[in-house]
Amino acid sequence: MRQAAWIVRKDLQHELRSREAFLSTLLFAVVVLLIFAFAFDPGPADIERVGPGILWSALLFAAVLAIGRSMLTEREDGAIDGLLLAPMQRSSIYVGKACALLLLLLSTQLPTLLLFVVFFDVPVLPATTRLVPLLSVLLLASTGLAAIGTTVSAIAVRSRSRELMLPVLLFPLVSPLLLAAVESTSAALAGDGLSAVSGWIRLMLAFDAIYLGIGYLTFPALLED
Amino acid sequence: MQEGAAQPRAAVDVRGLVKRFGLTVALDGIDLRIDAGESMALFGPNGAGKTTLVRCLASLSRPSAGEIQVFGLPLDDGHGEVRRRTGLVSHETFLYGSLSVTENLLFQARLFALSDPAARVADVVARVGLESRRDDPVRTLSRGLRQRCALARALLHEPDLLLLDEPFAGLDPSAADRLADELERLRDDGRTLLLTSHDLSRGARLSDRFAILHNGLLVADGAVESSDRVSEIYRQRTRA
Repeated sequence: MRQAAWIVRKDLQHELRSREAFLSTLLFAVVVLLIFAFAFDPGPADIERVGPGILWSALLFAAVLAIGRSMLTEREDGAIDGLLLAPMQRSSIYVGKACALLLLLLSTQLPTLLLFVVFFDVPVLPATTRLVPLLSVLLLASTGLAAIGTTVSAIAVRSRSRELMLPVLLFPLVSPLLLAAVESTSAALAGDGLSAVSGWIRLMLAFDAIYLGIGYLTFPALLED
Repeated sequence: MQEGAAQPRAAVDVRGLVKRFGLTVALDGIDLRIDAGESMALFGPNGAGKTTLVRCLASLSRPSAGEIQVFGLPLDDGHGEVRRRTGLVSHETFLYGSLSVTENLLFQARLFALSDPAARVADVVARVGLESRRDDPVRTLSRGLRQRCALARALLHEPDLLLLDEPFAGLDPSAADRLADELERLRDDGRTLLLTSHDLSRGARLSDRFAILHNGLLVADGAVESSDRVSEIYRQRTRA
């Protein structure tokens, strides 16, 4: 697993150098939030109802950009073969790529959440019943997105129509996770705390585990000819 | 079998190798042996199966049938020992354009868990003559320099077997000559080389033996006598 950590470091180094995925993902999320802010202009009473949908629409569509870039960098000049030639468990590549993607997603989602709070005047205090639950949902859903996104990205990147293939494969697979994230976010915005949606939280945990298991087991086969 | 016995130790032993992509048979029952320390050129027209064979040997492609052993070990030995003893240079460099030469090589050295990676990287960078460009992003290098960097990557872990898949592709004559000189040094060091190329004379010059693939079949396998003789056999065996 030490090699997985080196892969994370390499991906972050690459991203810090190019900032391709970070800037495009963040910009996309901000644009979606702005469109919703101007289109709906929801008041404090509406935000509990429509806020979770607005937030997760922005986060999901923006995440697709980051997920798409994740394996694309490995295909340029055959870099993925350089990883496959190394004497390590090939599942380590999955772990490294998924962790790097998770960090990238979180680094764009936190500013997006901040802008969401500012644009829609969302109350986040008291922290124990609003902000902490909101951040927990973000972490759980992002973990699932990174876990299945890395696998789907590895499939899509081999296809000629990768831009089409990625959302076609990804959206149905993340639907349960997204549903749970929206419901949990709704409870967090209402100040109900996580205990009110423990069922949805458990569902997210289960899907995170399933996505991680699928990726860990299938990733080596996806990379071979 | 021990070193020095009547029959030399096999670096590569391929038996009945078949590789299919859907209905297409890329390799159709290949038997091939390369002794340790030997250098072999693999020739063949486009689509003959050269790259597929090299990718199978490098454990990048899973054979449909047949058996491959490298230094007496099955490719899928579970410990990566074969990969630790094998290096691959291709027409693709396997490098990250946004990272510098040193960053790319350090990353690879760490994946191979080499002791003192920084010293090892400095050593191979000097060996391929890239010291003055070591901090430059790989994407800013010329094709020839990138290929030298790719060779440095393949040599980082001092592999006993070096697989070279069209390493001269896209190189200008002087860059190709320089790479050929380096490969000659590696051959003289006693490494086992398997080189695929369309350049029969250069391939023959670098090799003790040659083999010819045609339509997924091994149609010739013998010692290199002269490049003219290799060319003659190539023309005979690859006639449609």
